[in-house]
Amino acid sequence: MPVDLGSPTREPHPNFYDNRRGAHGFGVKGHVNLTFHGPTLKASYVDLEGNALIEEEWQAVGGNVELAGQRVICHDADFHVGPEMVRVTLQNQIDESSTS
Amino acid sequence: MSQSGRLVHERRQLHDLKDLPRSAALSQLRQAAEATSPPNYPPEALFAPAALVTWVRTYLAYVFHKKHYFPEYTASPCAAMYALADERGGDGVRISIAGDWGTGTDEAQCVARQMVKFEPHFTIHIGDVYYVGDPPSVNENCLGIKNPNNNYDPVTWPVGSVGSFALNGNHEMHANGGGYFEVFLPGLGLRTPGGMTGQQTSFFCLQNHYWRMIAIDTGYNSIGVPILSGIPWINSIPGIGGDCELPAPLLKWLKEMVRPEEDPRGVILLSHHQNYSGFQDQYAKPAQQLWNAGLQRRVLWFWGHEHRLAGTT
Repeated sequence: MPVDLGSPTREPHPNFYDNRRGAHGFGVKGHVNLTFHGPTLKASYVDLEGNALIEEEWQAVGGNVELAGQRVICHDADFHVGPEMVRVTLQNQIDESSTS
Repeated sequence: MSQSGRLVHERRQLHDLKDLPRSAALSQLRQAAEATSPPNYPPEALFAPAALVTWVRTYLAYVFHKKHYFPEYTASPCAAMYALADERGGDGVRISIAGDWGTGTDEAQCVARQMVKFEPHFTIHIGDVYYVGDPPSVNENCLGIKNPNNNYDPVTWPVGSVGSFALNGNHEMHANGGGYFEVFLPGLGLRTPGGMTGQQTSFFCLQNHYWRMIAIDTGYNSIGVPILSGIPWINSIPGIGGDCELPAPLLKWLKEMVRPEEDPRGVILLSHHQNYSGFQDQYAKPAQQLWNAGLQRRVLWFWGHEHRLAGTT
């Protein structure tokens, strides 16, 4: 379907949402790629042009799924990122763990 | 260009799907208008007598036929429980997921190409084949088979190197689910030297030592009573509007095969409908049922239906 545009109108507000307008006047289509490796899951949200927009790392911990990090790659003004979103890149986390 | 001077598109355009209603009646009308005015239908085709006649015939056929039966997990040789593993059994697995993809547009073909670049072991469509997910729609929009009712180039869903699965959406149920269960699912499942095994159920679990990816069918009970469910206020009466209630055979599978309360692995849920949304309607019933089935912990949940990329914790 054509991707809808507009801002959230009710709770809960999303941590991030893509409100970019594509060339055809609708929002920008895409998909998500998941990479599993042991207890780690990496999710990469990719748009129609193949651009990664945001990457997440999740961990399976004691039956729960915990967010270990997020990295915003798209810095378009219409790619909205909420103030509560953790702006720590996966690379920073890797750097921190490798130096500790 | 056509002889009339109108630009002829090789595929359905995104604009053709603009403001497509979530009612079966109006989705059937869009399909009827397209079928009666090939190759590209203009907006006024919605009111053409031929379109209205076709719409009445197809919509009434939908109204007076039962939904496709809901297959139980015993229909699957592996009880709908699959290994989340690569070709050699390793846990380094790549999965590519798209939702609301079955449009038959150039954009759908482009998304498919992007998915293939990831070289996924599995691909998963989380529901919605337009306009109504009947056999010609599934053939045209997912299986690369030309639809005799229009003149468009078809689109092919990309299959992973290990397998591919699809969830049920509300648009598939606008044609009672026949195209989804009888045409799409037999071409999915796991790759074997002899072809695809078929996906026998509209729910499944991919699992390895650390993870379980549990896919549920929120589409089957998403429609409600024909005609009445499309009327505001009336459709809020319990039993009139669709509430995406998980069917009893799916709950039986959760209880007998998945047993989430006993399992320590991380859970990723897949469904067509959203549990909550900052943009539109919410469907809380499936989450209540999953909780009651013993899934009472933090999960990661991917859904479609909203027609947008958004993330909420």
